[in-house]
Amino acid sequence: MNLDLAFNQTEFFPFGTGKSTTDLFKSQNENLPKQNNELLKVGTKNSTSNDKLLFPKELITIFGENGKNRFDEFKSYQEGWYGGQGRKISRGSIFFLKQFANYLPELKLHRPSLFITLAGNLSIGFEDRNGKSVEIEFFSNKAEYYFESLEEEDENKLADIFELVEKVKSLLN
Amino acid sequence: MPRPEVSLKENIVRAIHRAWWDEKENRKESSIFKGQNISVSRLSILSIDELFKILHPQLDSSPNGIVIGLGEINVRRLKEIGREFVNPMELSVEKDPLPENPAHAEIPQKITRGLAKAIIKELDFHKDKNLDF
Repeated sequence: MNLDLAFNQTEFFPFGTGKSTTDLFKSQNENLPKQNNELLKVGTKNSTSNDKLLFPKELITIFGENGKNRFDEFKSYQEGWYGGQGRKISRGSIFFLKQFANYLPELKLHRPSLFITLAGNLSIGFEDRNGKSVEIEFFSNKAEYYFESLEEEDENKLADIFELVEKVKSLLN
Repeated sequence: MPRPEVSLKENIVRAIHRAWWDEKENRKESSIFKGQNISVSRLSILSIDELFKILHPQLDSSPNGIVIGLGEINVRRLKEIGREFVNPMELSVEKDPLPENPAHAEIPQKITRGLAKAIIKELDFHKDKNLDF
């Protein structure tokens, strides 16, 4: 995961914080070793089981018990689920979703659903303020999205996470 | 040699895995139809119940990681959705019978996330009545 990329993005000042995106993302990432401990401790080469993977607390707040239960189910899926096509859950995807959700606590109000794709990526779905569908799939280094109300389908690199956050915010509020 | 197309009058179904259907919030994910060479089954060849019996052993992977339903759509309507989409696409459904599933067919085109969502909106859903929900 190349977090350096995230520090090199063009700066702007999101959310009226007075802090640049770089500052925000750096301060966020200063805590990464601690924050990701629960993910990294099972991410060794010798580890083949996802049993110890935990649904991050920040995500439980947003996705609720239903989301946690679905995550717990997804982590039990082995390589080759769905007739040999499905991949195991991606730790990078969990990380990206967590980073994204940290900046969008209001997502909770839209009762988002949690899914897993054949690529092993977490995907979320919800309706925007106009009841139109929003779907975002989190890869380890990018997010692919579809915004029905804008008829827009594209992707954002992890380095451009704030652009994605701003786009989604504009659909929610 | 191109495979023969399924008649416009026919209805087809796509297997829906629990991973792509949040029953509590009643939302479906685009994975149901997103991608290329999407496998479907023809209801003119096998019934819903017969297809569940074929698809469960093929696609179920764990006690919870299972096919929980089938999404049904008419072939003519499927093609109309493709043409009416913001980025129009000519969809086709090609016969591709398999030894284990004589009703098998494929949609060869690459279906995008947005188009998949448009198709999913128009599916009739059949839950497997034999599953304990």
